[in-house]
Formats: sequence, structure tokens, C-alpha cells
Amino acid sequence: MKQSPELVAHLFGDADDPEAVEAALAESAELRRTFDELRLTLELVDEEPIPPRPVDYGARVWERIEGRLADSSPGVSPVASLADARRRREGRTRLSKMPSWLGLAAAAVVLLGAGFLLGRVGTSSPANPDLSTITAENDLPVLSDEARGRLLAAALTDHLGRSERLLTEVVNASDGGLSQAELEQAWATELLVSNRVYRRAAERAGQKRIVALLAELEPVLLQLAHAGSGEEAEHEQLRRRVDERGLLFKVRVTEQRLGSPVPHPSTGSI
Amino acid sequence: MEQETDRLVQAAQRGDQAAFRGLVEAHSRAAFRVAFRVLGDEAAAEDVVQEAFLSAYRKLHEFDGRARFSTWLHRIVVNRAIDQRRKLKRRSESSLVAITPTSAGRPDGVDNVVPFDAPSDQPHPDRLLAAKQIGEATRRGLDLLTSLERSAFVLRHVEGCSIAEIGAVLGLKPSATKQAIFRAVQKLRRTLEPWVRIRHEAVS
Repeated sequence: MKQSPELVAHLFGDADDPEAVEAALAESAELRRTFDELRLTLELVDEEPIPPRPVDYGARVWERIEGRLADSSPGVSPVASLADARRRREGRTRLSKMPSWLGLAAAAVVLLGAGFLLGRVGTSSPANPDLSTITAENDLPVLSDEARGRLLAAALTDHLGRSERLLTEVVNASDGGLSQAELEQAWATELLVSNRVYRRAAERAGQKRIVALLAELEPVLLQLAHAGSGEEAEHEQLRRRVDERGLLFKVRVTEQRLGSPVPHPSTGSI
Repeated sequence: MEQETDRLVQAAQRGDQAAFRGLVEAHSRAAFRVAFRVLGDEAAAEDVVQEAFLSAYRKLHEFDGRARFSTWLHRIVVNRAIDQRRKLKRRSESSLVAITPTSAGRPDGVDNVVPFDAPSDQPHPDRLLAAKQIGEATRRGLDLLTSLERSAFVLRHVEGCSIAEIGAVLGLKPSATKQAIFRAVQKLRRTLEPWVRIRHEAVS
């Protein structure tokens, strides 16, 4: 019971067997002290008062965002009825559903493919279509070098922002547990695909620094993507690798240099 | 309230902006509470609330009702708040006052440190300063959590969401949710250790 999650759960009234926890507390002064300190920790977290909001705060928030909703559009819900969804509630894990991430990676491939890979082609062949065949009537736009550069910068900023969050998870996770490792693995797998696409795009654009950074990031993503769940030693080795190379710092600096990060539409999905 | 929220969500998912407005008005204050706990800054928290609702609007089609709308929304708020905090930290790194415990266990680095165990019923300005110091230490502690730990802890402790709800929105089994909260509280306890010790001695 000493440092068991049940002790913290009991603080919140979530213990599976509250009587057992109470019995353990009654028997051990040390455990009671630990429990008190955990309780005091939660009290301290609440110490700073939260400034109250006026009654019409919601209306004010709406006023501020209403004009910006035109730039966003909700998709169609795949669930016909929320009530049906609740009744059908299954225990599938969050990791089995990452449509926004995959969609972004796929969009990145299409966008960058159209903007960079086709734009760099010189000779006409089935694998290398002639640029002159890409006209306004076609779906693929003709992009200038400047436009391609901006496109790459925007896409890379997003990619580096996600990579930064993953590396921060790696550095912060001490006893990550199975779920944390699974999350990082799925996350890394997705980022690995994007990393390779952007690395090719950056190579074609002659962005040597970006290429070098993405080359340094790739083995870390690869290792995370194939890491065994719960392998603490492997995770520790990864954390040291990220720390020793200052990789997190390099990613942050490069992200900042590329410009203001674009909104991360999938941030809320994790 | 929950049925009304469900109705509004479904309507908003069909493109009804008035319905989304209803959701914004009903959930803004709670969203602000969550954002403020992470950021400790009113203006920054208000910005995050707005950005979170915009993000929720864009991603509304992904909400499938496995958890309450508020739980799903608050997860977005937590993540946005963490992103914002990182940006703010990078911008003002040089101006942050380092608050570190002395060997005696009392926080130093700030002039006129509050007699920390002042009676809580006194609305003393020094007590507010102490609360601010602890708040900043708490936020530093939250920075050290993984996103799962942080989301699980804020949703449980700040918003009172159930273990089942938190698990539904984070994709975790109840045992894993409890583990995440447990690790979060342990890490926060380590960060707040000097203050925990002082408070413990005061009440013993």
C-alpha cells in the first residue's frame, strides 16, 4: 500500500476497496504521514484562488470567436446519435483512432508532393511528368520557389511542434507505464512518416540545416516507434540520447526560426 | 444539463452555429478554471479558452460521445494551455524569478517571503503572495508531467471528472487512469515538497 495508486485514489474517493485503505492507514503511522502529505499537496495545488468570471463570460467568449468560426468548419459527425454512441460504448483505446494525425500526414504528402516533388522535375516521363502539363485546369497548382519555400516552412513548423511535444514526453516520463509507452510509440510512428517526407522535401529545396535536424530526429523516432512497451532501460537510453544531443532544444529553436507555428488542429486529440 | 449539451452538440455537428454558441456560453467558465490552473495568468487563460473553443469547433465531428462533452473540451483546454505556457516561458525565460528552497526548507529568492503558515481566514496580502508563489511552483510541477499525467490529473482534481470519463477521453483503462493520476500527484508532491513539509509541521 505504501506508494500505491490506491492511496491517491482514496484521496479522490476512487479506491476500489476504501475499507482496506482505511485499515492500512490505521495500522501504519508512516502511511498516514504519506497520505497527509499527498492530501496537503492537493490543497496546495488549490491554494492560488481562481479569479471569478462574470456571469456573461460565455457570451463574451462567443463575441470574440464568432467572427473566426468562418475560417473553421465542423466536419460531419460519424455518429448518428450521441445517445446511440453512449449505449454502444466500447472499450476501444484512443490509440486505435488517430484520423487527424494520419489525415495531416497524408495531406502533407499530397501538398508537398504537388508543391515540391513534381515542381522539381525537369524531364518528361511517366515517373516525372512534364511541368508544362500542369495547368490551371488541372488539380495540381504551379508553385513558385517562394511559395514552395513558404509551404515547406509552414509544414515543418507544424511537424517540429509535434516532434517537440513527443520529445518532451520522453524527457518527462519517469515511470511512464504501459499506456505512456504505447502512446509514444503510436505518436512516433506517425511522426516518422512525416519526418521522412519533409526530409526529402527539404533536400530538394536545398535546406541543409533542416535536413540535418530531421536526419538527427529520425533515429529517435524510429527507436520510439519500435520500442517495446514497458522497457524502462530502453526508454532511459532514449531520454539520455535526447538530452545529450540537445535535440529538444534544437527542435524548439528551429521551430521558432521557421516562424509563428500554425495552429495545431490535432492538439486536442491527445 | 447533460441532455441539453448532447442536443446542442448534435445540432452543432450539423452546422448549427447557434447551438455551438450555446455550448460556448455553458462551458466557458469551467474551461477558464482549467486554463487558469495550468497558466496562472488571466489574460493568457482567456486566450486559451478562445483558442480551445475554436479548436473544438473544428474537431467537433470527432466527438463521439464516449465521454461528456465537457471532459473532451477540457482535454483540449489543457493541451492548449500547456502549449501556451511553453511559448510564454520561452519568451520570458530571463525575467522569471527563481524560487528555490533553502536548506532550511523555506522558499527563498523572493523578498519578504510570507510567514507561510499564516491563518487562512485572514485575507492578508502576504498570503496572496504566498499563494502566487505556490501557484507558480505548481505550474512548474505540471510542466514536468507527461501529457497523459497532466490531463488525467487536471480533469480529475480541477474538474472532478470521474475515472471512467477520463479513461474514455484519454483512451485508458481505469487502472491506467489511476496510475497516471498517481504519478502526477507524486511528482507534484516532490515539486511542492518544501511547502508540504512546512504545512505538515504547522498542522501537526
